[in-house]
Amino acid sequence: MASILISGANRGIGLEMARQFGNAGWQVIGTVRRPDQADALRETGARIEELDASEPASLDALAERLEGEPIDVVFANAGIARNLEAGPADVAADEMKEVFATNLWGPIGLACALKRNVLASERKTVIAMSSLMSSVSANDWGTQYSYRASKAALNALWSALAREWTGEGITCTLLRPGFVATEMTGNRGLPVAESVAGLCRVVESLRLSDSGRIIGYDGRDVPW
Amino acid sequence: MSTVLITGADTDQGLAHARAFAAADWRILAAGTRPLDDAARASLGAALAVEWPYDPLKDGAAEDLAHHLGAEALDAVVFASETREGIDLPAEELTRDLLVEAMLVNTYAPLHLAACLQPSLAAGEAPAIVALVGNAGVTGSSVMPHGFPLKTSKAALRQMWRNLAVEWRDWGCRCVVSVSGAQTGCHDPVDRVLAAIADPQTPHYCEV
Ligand SMILES: NC(=O)c1ccc[n+]([C@@H]2O[C@H](COP(=O)([O-])OP(=O)(O)OC[C@H]3O[C@@H](n4cnc5c(N)ncnc54)[C@H](OP(=O)(O)O)[C@@H]3O)[C@@H](O)[C@H]2O)c1
Repeated sequence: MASILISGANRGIGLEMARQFGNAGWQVIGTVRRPDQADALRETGARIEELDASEPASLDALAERLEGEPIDVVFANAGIARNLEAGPADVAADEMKEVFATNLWGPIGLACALKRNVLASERKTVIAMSSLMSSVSANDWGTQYSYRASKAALNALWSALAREWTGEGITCTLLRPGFVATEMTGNRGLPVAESVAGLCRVVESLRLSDSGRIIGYDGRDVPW
Repeated sequence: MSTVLITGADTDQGLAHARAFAAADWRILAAGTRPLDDAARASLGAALAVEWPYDPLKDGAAEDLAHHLGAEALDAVVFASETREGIDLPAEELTRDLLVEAMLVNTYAPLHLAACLQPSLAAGEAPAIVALVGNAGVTGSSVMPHGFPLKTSKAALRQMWRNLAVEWRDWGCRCVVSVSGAQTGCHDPVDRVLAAIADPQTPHYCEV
């Protein structure tokens, strides 16, 4: 049975992924910041682990608890968006720090903390959740400074990671969920089940040759 | 005479830009963490109008620089101040603080300073802001091993310039991204920057 660890699985896209991968027969570990507030995730049958994705000590503790367990897919999904309407003069350093720690360091911290678990598995895959907002070439409307910076940086990071880890047999891929109705978007956009159905199809089909790509829920590559 | 502010004027990249702008008859306002040494100062000659301290990691550094500048108009700003901390580290040795600091220095500081300088730039003649991104910041194309903090922060800087190009085009600011790093052996990245600024056809977002 294939296994997947999903960060930020208590709501939104992460929760729906836990549900759909579980229904498809995967063994799911969902991480949350507050296990006592994760009833919806618990109902999916997923195993629940505590993780604050931006805290090094929390990642170390997770790695210790999972030591020796193969994990086929590590999916760094947890992410935040702040102050999306702010103009360039209104973006504060503290906002940038928080968004970078969560959206940029969070995924690489998770992938590195669980690298041994991934290497011990069959599928050997690490995925980070990107966004169309990461794309420089598709950016013709601006806004969302801290979020765009973090996701453009995440693309660069995963692309660089693919260069280093693909040789070790690890598939390092970025996914884009589309514009999805969750708390992050004020519940505007695609139904979350539809986006996640597409994401699951992409994850199921990933091969080592997909390392270094950024793929949408619709199977299409996103331009850098 | 046109005026350019150059951050990181005390670094190799910054000084190379300062020299090229001086040779093209620009007036240079230099900002850096350290004062220029005598040789650097001499090489700029009368083009060097002033030197100001600027440490991108210091709180209020951008506001101080804007304050020094006062009502003076700027025709261009070159953001050459950067950190290359941690570029030899493999992914497994990256720390959160190192990565976040690289993002603050290489991505946030230029964005924030550009925002603080907006009134001076808006008073300039066909103003341009220049980000030095190099090949490292062009995702998917860099063959440099490791380099994680540099690749991430420069890719994000490129995205910030793209944002500014969209939002500032109404007052005519041109956002120039230098993608050919001096260290990669591409010829004359500084001349390309100067040529882009001099060309009235240069679009609001331009990679050279
Ligand atoms: N929705 C979209 O249209 C869209 C588009 C493109 C990309 N994305 C990306 O998709 C991912 C999921 O987004 P979503 O729409 O599902 O957002 P969401 O509904 O706001 O959920 C975000 C999830 O991330 C978790 N999280 C945030 N910071 C965390 C931290 N420091 N440690 C651990 N968990 C943390 C949240 O946990 P708490 O409940 O504890 O806060 C929550 O489970 C994000 O990476 C987002 O950037 C979303």
